[in-house]
Parts: sequence; C-alpha cells; structure tokens
Amino acid sequence: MAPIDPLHVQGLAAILFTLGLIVVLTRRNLFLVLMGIELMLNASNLSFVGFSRQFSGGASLVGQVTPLFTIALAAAEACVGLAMVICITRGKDTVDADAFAEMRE
Amino acid sequence: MSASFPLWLIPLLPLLGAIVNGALSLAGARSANGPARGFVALIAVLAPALSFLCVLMASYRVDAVVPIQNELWTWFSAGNFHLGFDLLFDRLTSMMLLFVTGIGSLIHLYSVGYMWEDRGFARFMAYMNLFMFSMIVLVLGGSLPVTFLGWEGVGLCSYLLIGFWHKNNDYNDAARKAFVMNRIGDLGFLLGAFALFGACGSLGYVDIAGFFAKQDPAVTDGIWTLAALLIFLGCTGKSAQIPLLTWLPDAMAGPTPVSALIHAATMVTSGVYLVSRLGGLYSHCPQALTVILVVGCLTALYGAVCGLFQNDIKKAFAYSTVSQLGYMFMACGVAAYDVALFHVLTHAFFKATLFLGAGAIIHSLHHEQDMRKYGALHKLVSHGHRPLYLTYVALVLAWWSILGLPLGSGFMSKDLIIEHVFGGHATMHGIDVASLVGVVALVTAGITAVYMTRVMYLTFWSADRVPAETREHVQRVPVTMAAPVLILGCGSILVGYLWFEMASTWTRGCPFPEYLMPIFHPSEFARIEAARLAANGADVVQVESGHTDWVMTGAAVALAVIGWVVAAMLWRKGPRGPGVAEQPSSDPTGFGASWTWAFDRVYHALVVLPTRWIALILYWVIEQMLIGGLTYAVAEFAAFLGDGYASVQRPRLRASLALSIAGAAAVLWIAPLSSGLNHVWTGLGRVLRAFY
Repeated sequence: MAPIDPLHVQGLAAILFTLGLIVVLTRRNLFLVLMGIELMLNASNLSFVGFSRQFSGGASLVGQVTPLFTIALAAAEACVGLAMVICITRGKDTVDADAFAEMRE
Repeated sequence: MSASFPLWLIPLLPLLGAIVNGALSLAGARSANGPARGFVALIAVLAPALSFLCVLMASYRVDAVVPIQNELWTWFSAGNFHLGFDLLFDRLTSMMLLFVTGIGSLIHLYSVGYMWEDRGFARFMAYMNLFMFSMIVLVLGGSLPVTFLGWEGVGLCSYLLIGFWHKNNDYNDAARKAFVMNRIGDLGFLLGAFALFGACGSLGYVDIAGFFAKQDPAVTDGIWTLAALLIFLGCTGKSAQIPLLTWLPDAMAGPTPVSALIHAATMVTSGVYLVSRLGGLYSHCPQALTVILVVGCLTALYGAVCGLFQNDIKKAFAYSTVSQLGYMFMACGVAAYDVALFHVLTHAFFKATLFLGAGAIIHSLHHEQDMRKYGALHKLVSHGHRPLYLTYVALVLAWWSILGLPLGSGFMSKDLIIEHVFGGHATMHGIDVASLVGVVALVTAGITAVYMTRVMYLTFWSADRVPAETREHVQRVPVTMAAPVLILGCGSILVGYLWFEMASTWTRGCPFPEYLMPIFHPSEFARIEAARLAANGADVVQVESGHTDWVMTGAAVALAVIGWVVAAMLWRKGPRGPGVAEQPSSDPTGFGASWTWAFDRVYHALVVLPTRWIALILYWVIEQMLIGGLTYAVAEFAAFLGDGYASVQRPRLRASLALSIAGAAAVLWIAPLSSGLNHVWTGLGRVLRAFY
C-alpha cells in the first residue's frame, strides 16, 4: 500500500475545517453550531497528526500529544457549551442563534 | 552654673487642657446643652494657672547669664544638620511667659463668665487653651523652627477664635482674612529663617546670638539685612503693622476675651518678641532698623488717626492696638529692645483691661458695640445696683495709663520710647529720620489721648443714650468677669513702676531693664557684675539706662492733656457725625471711612481685583478652552470613531463571528506581508551600505 501523501492529509484537514466553519456560520441552530466547532477542532487534530507523521523527533511528539489535549478540551467545551445553550434557551424558548442579538443597544 | 527645670511642663498643661476640653466638646456635640460647664471651666482655668506657677518657679531658678535649655527630642536631622525640639528659658522668655500665662489665666477666668451661656463653651475653652499652648511654644522655643511651630499655632487659634461664631459669614470672612494675611507674613518668616541659616549656619537662638556677638559691631552684610527684613515681614503680619495690618480690626469679630488675649495682649506682640530675640542680628543691620523705625512710626500714626473715627468700641480699641504696636516697633527700630518689651508688658495690662472692660459692657448691654448707643454707663442702674461701676473704675485706670499721664504705666513706657527714638541714630539720605519719627511719635501720643478720651466720653462722660429695649434687659457682670478686669486695671497702673528708679538697698537701678540686661547688653552686664564682685557684693554701679529726660516727658504729658481737652470739647455732648437713625451700621462714614479703609481699598485694587481677573482669564482660556476643549475633542473623537465602528458591528451572532474570522484571516495574511517588507528594508539598507 502506497504511503499517504502528507499534502493529502493536510488537504483533508483543510476541507474538514472549512466545512466546520461553514456549518458554524450558516446554521442557525445553536446545537449545529456547536457541532461545527467540534468538526473544526477535529480537523485541526488531523492536521497535527499529519504533521507528526511528516516530521521526526520533538515535532513528531508534539504532533501526537497535542490532539490528546485537544480532545480533552473539546470534551470540556462541549460540556460547557451545551450547558450554556440550555441555559440561554430557557430564557427565550428557542435555539435560533439569530434570536440572541442583544449585544448592541 | 546652669539650673534645670522640666520646661516641657509649661506648654504641656494647656495642651492637656485643650485635649480634654476638645474631647469633652466632641463627646457632647449631640447633646442639647454641651458638656458640664463647671468641669470644663475648672480645667480651662487651671491649666494656664498651673503653667503660670511653673513659669514662676522656672523664673526663680534661672541663672542671669546661663539659660535653662531642654532638648526634648530630635526633630529632624540630615547630614551635619541637626535640629532638636529645643526649649530655651532665659530672662527674656521668663518676662514674656510671666505676663502671657499670668494675664492669660485671668482672661481664661473672664471667659468663663463671658461665654457661660454660649452653646460652644467647651469648644471655646479648648481653643483658648490651645492658643495658650501655641503661644508658650512660640516664646519658649529655643530655635526659629520651634518658634515657627508656635507662630503657626497661634495663627491657627486666632483663625479658629475669630470665626468662633461661624454661623455669621462676615465673621468667617474676617477669620480667613486674618489667616491669609498671616500666611503672607509667615512666608517672610520662613525665607528669613533660611537666609539666617545661610548666614550663621544655625537656627538656635543661642548660636545666632553667639555668632553676632563675635562680629565687629560696625560690620554689616547684605544677607543679614535680607534676613532681618524678611523676618520683619513676618512680624508685620503677626503684629499688624503696615503693610499687613488690615486683618486686626476685622479680627474683632471674635468674642471679646479673644480680642483681649490674642489681639491685644499676647499674640500680636510676638513680632516685637521675635525682633528682640534676634536683637543681635538687627543691631548689625542699621538699614533694617531704619525700616522698622519708619514702619512703626507710620503704623502708630495711621492706627491713631483711624481710631478717631470708630463708632464700634472694639474697633476703636483695635486701631489703638495697631497704633501701640507701632510704638513698640519704633523702640525696636532704635535697638532699644528692653524699652520695646516694657511697652509690650504695660500695653498687655492696659489694653487687656480696655478690652475686658469693653467685653463687660457688651455683655451687660446684650452685644451692643455701637458707642452711639452708650453714654453714662457707670450710672446705669439695674435691679438696684450699678452693674458697670467696677468696669468703669478699671477702664479709667487703663485710660489713664494709655494716655501716658503721670503715675500710669504708659507714662513710663511710652515716654521711654519717645525719648529713645529722639536719642536714636537713624539717617537716610542725610535726613535725621530718628528725630522726624520722634516728632511723629509725640504727635501720635496727642492723637492717642484724643481718641481714647473720645471713647471715654462717648461711653461714660456724656448723656445717657442707651435705647429703652436694651435698658430693660441689662445683665449684671458676674464676679468671674469683674475680678480680672479690676486686677488688670490696677496692674496697668502698677506695672509701670517696674522701670522706676528705686533707691532701695535691693537694687539701685531699674528692675526691668536690669532684669533683661544680660540678654540685650551682655558686655555691660559682665562689667557691672565684675565691679560688684570686686566691691564684695555692695552696690557701687548705677545702671545708666534709667535716667529720664524731663523735657520730653513734659512735652508728652502736655500733649496728652491737650488731647484730653480737645476730646472733651468735641465729644462732651455726645457723638458727632451721622446718628443711629441715618446710619444703623456702626461703620465710619465719609472722610473717616476713607481713612479707615484705605489699605483694604488699595489691596482690593492692587491684589484682589488683578487676581480675580487673572483667575477669570485662566478659567476661560486654560480651564475651559485648552483643558476643557482638548478633553472634549479627545472624547468627541473617540465617540466619533466608536459610532463609526459601531455601525460595522452586526447584531447577529453569526455575522459578527464571520467578520471576526475574516479579520483574523486578514491579520494572518498581513503578518507575513509585513515581515516581507522588513526583508525589503534590510535589503535596501545593505544596498545603501554597499554604496557608502
């Protein structure tokens, strides 16, 4: 089996990140926005792992360890994020992100 | 041999009184009546009386030549400079403190009667005790900074007591005026002290006196004269001389015991004390002495002339004080410090009597101070007796003294001053200033007789003009007020004999100048002491300063009598000028007013108005236009930018997120671009360097 080209890995990561970004920016449902964020985090994880394969030594180690941290972080973020969404949803009885436009004025 | 005495006791007792009474006053602030008056009065009178006892004991112990010195603690020190909190007790201090604490105690006793009904009795007594403390520190201080501490303290107490009835805004203005005027003088005091330190390297009185004793009497130095004049500026502030005299007449807003204690007997004479204390310095500065002589002379004349036009009895006495202080400075101006201090002493007695007597009248007539509503007060009958008769007796004694008639104390002290002024040496551009000043001093003695006799005629020796409603409520004068007035009245006659030549075995000279001789004429004192020792204790040397020039004395007495006669002719039938109906206020009008307010008007035109204009210009140009405008512009610019940017901000969460991501992407793009630019710049630099 031919070795995977590093460029393909990074390309896949970039595509996944862009998809996540599009989800975050276009979907109005707050839960879907959170899912988009998860997708972006995982895309960055993939990028890290790809670089870890490409390089050797210390850089390789960093590339393998950082995704572990990111996964833990993503778990915590999902936890807090979901809790916040539930909290603010109770006030307005909607999960529409555009309903929360109270920053200005 | 140096005697020892715990000098700190003398100021400590009034300070304790002030603290206790101040605490009581604060503690009783919410009660309807204030703290128990009897207890407050006991503490307030006992504190200065006990410190008077301490002064007596210290005066008994102090050696003629070697002063008692206490360094309580190190005040501050830097490098070689060391300044302790020194107290110095020599015969000059002793003489000053004896009358300050003695008369002070009597006036405290008087205040008990005068202020008994007042709600702020404890507060008043606390201020009075604080004043005694400050005054004692002023006199007892062994160096200029310690004296300055007391100097500021008496200024503060003067301010607090002038504005004691602080619900009247005019009184507050008078208090502020006194404070500001004194601050101007204090600046002179401080600068003078610095100059003096530069000249002799020390601030202690003993060191300063020693430094100047070593100098050749003919030698003078510019920095000495500068120091002398600056310190004299401080004295003009405290002692109400030209140019800083206008605060003293306004200071009569304070309760009358305050006028007697602070603005007649003690505080205002501290300028004379300071000049005498630095006598060594002034004796080396003939120009400064001439200035003092002329200033004293002009002030004496001005005060006496102003005194002629006053309808308010306290104002008349205030201008009299200004005038008498001028006499004291005249004596200082011919370096006759013992004579000046003798007048300080006699003036303290008779002027305290005059003010306390005026206070008794004001007290029994329900705060009526306008002499146009007085007349025949000694015959005023209330509840079957004459409440003001004893006051009348004391006032006659004091009046006799201030006129300089024989047997009174003013006869001794004022004539001595006139005599010494005529005998003094002061020339300016070839003019014999001393003789001119002497003539003015004689004339002023005549005017003094006129205005003092006028007060007596208007108050006692003219028809009864007391309004009916006042007559119905005449209050009696309590014994706590009558006794001090009488004691001081008798004292104002007797104290003059301290200068009298005594043909007794005790001393052949005059007690007063001989007592101060070791301070002002140490070499002469040493000579006499040596002669006494050689004669085995017998009195062989007659002190020469006691001789009397009978021509001058006769002239002064004749002028006083003429002044008396003039006043009798003018005011025998009662007041002249606008009556109470035409002019309800007791302020002088017309010609008299323009004399009285000359300084206030000049200061208003020269200082107050320009300051107000400058303040107004600064307010509009600096404050409003520059500072305000700039602040406004910055704020407006920020608000302008903010408004602009706010329109970029999207209310929708997703839109703002998209914008922020776009911004982050832009930054990520720009960063490599700018580092690329850096490469361009360094490359250009290399190229340029290759060319050079």
